Amino acid sequence: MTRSFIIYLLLIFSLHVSAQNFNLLFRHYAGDSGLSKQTTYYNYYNQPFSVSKFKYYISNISLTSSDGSSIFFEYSYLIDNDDEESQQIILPVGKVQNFSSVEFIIGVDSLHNCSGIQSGALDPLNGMFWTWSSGYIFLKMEGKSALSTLPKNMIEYHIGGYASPNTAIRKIKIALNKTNSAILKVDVSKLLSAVNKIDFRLIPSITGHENATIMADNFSSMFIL
Amino acid sequence: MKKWTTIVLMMMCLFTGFSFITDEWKWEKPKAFPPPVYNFKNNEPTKAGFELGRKLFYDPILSADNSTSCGTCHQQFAAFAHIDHALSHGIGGRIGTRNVPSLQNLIWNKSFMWDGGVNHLEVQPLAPITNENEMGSKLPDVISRIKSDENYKKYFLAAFSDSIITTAGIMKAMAQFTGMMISANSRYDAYIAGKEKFTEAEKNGLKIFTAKCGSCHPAPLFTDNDFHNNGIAFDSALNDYGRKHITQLEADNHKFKVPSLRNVAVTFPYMHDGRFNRLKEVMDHYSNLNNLSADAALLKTASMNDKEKKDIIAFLLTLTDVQFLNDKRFSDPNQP
Repeated sequence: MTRSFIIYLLLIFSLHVSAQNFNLLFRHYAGDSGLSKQTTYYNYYNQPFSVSKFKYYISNISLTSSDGSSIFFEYSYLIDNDDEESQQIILPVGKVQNFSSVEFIIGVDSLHNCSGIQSGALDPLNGMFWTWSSGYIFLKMEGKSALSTLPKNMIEYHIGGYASPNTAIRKIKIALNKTNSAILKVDVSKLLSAVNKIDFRLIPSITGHENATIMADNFSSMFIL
Repeated sequence: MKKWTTIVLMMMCLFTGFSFITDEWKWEKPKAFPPPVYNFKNNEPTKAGFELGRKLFYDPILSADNSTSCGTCHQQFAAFAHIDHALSHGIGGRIGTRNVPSLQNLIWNKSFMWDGGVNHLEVQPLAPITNENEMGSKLPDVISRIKSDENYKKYFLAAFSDSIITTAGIMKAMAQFTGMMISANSRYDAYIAGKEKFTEAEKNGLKIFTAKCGSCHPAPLFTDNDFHNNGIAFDSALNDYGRKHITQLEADNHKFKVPSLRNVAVTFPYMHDGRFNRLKEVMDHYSNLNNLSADAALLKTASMNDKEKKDIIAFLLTLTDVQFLNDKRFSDPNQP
């Protein structure tokens, strides 16, 4: 009797503890398939491609409740396809539950692009900081396509830039079902075609400020609940 | 007796601004200078931080083949420019596309590099460290090499109360060192303070300089920290569009950051690609300007006569700050 009571208490306690966090998970896809390095996918123009690297920053997450109040987290997180642990963001929300929407920016905000040397997710050691034109690479997607005329058929997209008129920062708002967790599907196919359709023969790479907005305009459509 | 000794010692510490107790690095903003852009926020200058920055500045460990340090190209006697070298030198005999800029009064800069590509003093060293034509290193390798050097642990511990080597620690220490390179003690500064006499040529030079050159090179920093097209001909071999590389704006084509003219006597050769060896060549360029795309302010410099050019040069020589060029605090700790 006492034993089950203790187990019951522990269960209630653990449930109470887990209700303290909002879990935001990112699952990477290319179309309807889970993103895998060994698979060949096809873009809008039916051009084959594979993905060897896919990482991006999510910053300034805001969780809004149905009463309109919100909790804001001024942090940047680096989500990396090669690092499973990075694909889950655990946000401490205290007793608040049942959020109706989540908002965040894809990239790093202007302030943090100009704040000098930073640590953690924003450490230049992560390979996501341009040294020749200070600022973060918001999203990196690298791989191969037979249609690319670059050396080794590489395709390489390093999208960043916080200064107008070529800012690549994009904001997104996703409606939630009064929940304390959300699993977002992040679709690389949408990255290549949602608004602007990338043709690997014409744009096999974007590595500077030029053309960055062509791909940045596809950012928001990548994330689906 | 012992009690009095203790009290006297404590009083001494009080009057010397606690410098015996704390490691605080005291510095004073030159009176005539505006408030600095970089204020060492979250990077309080200390003697230990400064010395770590100085050790790193003169350590070729930052370069891929351990041959080149910051000090290799940024020479103190040249106000930390690279005397007599038009373009930057790197590892393996590599040559860059731009002239080594002087390092002085950096905390008043809004941006760094000839195209303003770097936006903060703390991230500036990352550019030459990782540029394949300069130090050619990969950042993770730099951290590894520094971690393997036993000496650095105690420098980091002293500077940050933590012996763990981090990117932030390296950059902040270097910002403490380079940020303290302040030049405000030239003959010109003494003249303005009423402590020094100028010759007639120097006085005349100052007057003409202020009228013709002062819009881009205003005192006391002798730069407006902005980007201008000064009309020098485009070099198709170097293919350098300046500020446009960063902003992508057509209006920024052929614009480069105005360098400070402090210590200009020792920072030759001149311009973003070091094309002019002597100040006379610079004067001749500005007085013979025939480039419609040049900044409108340069209409003022057209047709200067020989006396005017000589006097301007006489004035420019007064901007040399001998104290700064010889300040032992910034010298190479590895040299006797």
